[in-house]
Amino acid sequence: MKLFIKYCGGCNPSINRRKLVNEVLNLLKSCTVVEITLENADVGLVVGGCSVCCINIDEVKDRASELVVVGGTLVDYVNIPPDQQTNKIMQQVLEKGGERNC
Amino acid sequence: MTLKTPQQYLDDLRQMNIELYMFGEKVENYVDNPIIRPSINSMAMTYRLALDPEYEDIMTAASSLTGNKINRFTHLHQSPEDLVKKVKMQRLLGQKTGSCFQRCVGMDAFNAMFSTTYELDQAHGTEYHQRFVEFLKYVQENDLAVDGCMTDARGDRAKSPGQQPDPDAYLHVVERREDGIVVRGCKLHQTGMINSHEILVMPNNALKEDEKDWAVCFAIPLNTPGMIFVYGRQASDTRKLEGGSVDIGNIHFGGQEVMTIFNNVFVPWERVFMDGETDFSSMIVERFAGYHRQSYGGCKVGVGDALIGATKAITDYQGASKASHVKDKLVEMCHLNETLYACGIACSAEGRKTAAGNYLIDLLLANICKQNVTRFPYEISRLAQDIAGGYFVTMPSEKDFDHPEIGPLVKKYSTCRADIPVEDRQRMLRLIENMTQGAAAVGYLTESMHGAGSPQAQRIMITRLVDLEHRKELAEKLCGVKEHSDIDW
Repeated sequence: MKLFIKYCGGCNPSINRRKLVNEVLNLLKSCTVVEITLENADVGLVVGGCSVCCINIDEVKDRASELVVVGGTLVDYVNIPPDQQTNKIMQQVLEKGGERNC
Repeated sequence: MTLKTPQQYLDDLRQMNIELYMFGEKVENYVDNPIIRPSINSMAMTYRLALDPEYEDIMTAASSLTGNKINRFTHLHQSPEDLVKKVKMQRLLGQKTGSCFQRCVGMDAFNAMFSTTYELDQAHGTEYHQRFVEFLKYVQENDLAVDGCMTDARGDRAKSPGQQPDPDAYLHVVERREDGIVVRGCKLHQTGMINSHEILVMPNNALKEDEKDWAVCFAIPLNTPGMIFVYGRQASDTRKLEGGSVDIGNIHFGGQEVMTIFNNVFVPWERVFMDGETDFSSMIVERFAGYHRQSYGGCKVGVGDALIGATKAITDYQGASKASHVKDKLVEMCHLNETLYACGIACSAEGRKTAAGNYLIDLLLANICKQNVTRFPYEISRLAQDIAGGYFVTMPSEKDFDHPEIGPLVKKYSTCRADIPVEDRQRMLRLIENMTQGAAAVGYLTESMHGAGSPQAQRIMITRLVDLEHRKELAEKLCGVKEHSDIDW
């Protein structure tokens, strides 16, 4: 799976974005082959530190077919408990990337 | 029809056959009642401005459900810009009416219910969202005023709904039938209730799993059998019965709060938007309260503008406008008022999309906004009273001013600047009295304190939403308690 990752600027994060992304990548790599890319991605993983998620989504859409949007504790606009967030993001990435859950 | 005229709105109210009581008597024609009518005028202004090209940009929107042009008070916010325009609309209406114009609670309830029913359905496999969408289309197409209805009677504050000796202390389902539910209870402090077409009911607070009967949301027309309304008193309210206009202060507009009793009221299933899903009651409360805390960053600012204007006018009328401390106090009033506006705009600009597609304000900033609203209007009012002087509470009545014998003497000794008619001074002082301790102070002060949740409710939310550990780590990195990983040069 080709994955594009876009962080927000990180001015006031309520989550540790880098740690979260590393955990998601580790999980994904146990299920599928992951290639980090800057364009033509299967999935764009948007990582906002807070619920505002101020990233320009349109720019990410130009680089990826599908989006998974993380904003603080929200995953695709739904609040997810912190201990379930990594798994939820992985599931969303796999589903939107057209791969079966592992 | 998607935009009503004020006259059509008034005609709607005249056709409502509701059970209303005030001063221990049943009120038949409430539209023309002098105590109630100013509050109806305030609501009517939300219709009037939507039809005026000068204001339509902030007063109307394109419906996300039908594409039609609708009153913004029935709109689902589609962007942060929409949230900002909502605040601007509220400031405008506060300026125009100098009082609470009452239609915000419905708008805030629509947006909270739209996103919550969507997520509720996703979690429970229910079909509330589509029912709610159909209800909202009906509201938009008929340009209805809807009362968002949350605060229960609440009985013993130390007990939750299910623990109350009287279960009716919180509105609850008393019967489930094939065709719908029957509810009983009472909602207090209902702003603009009898000036509305419909009531949209939500639970008061987070609920435990065994409190399913209290987890109920629904909408009904105001004239549904079993509904009883008892009009709330306001300071100096009976001045409106005295026949004059000066002593009323705000001669056209006012607010309205109503005790609303649901005495075994039937609700058909198609109007039920939650029944028993206790796990989503807190989401509704948080989102509704969040939107309403944003609202106060607009409406109270508009009323504040009017009060600042009244204070500026009275300094001019009384010849005090050149005093440096007066100028400085007016600056302080503006500073406080614009700070509230800044908070309203900030929580809107930082709004986010919900899973249902409409936009939610930034909850932390909305709570900060409301926390300031619990304080600043009091300080603005204090400064207004400081500058105005004490005559607004000791001044004789307008009947004394008009008295054939003592009137000339009362006027002579109430005159400040010779070129300013004494009645202008009277009217302005009465307006300041009205807004800072009279009928409009219900909306400008006590509603600022308790409306959309009392101060402690915001502090609880602020505690939950601010990440103090993150801030602690920032400090630890700066002083060397922890390694600063960003420094790699």
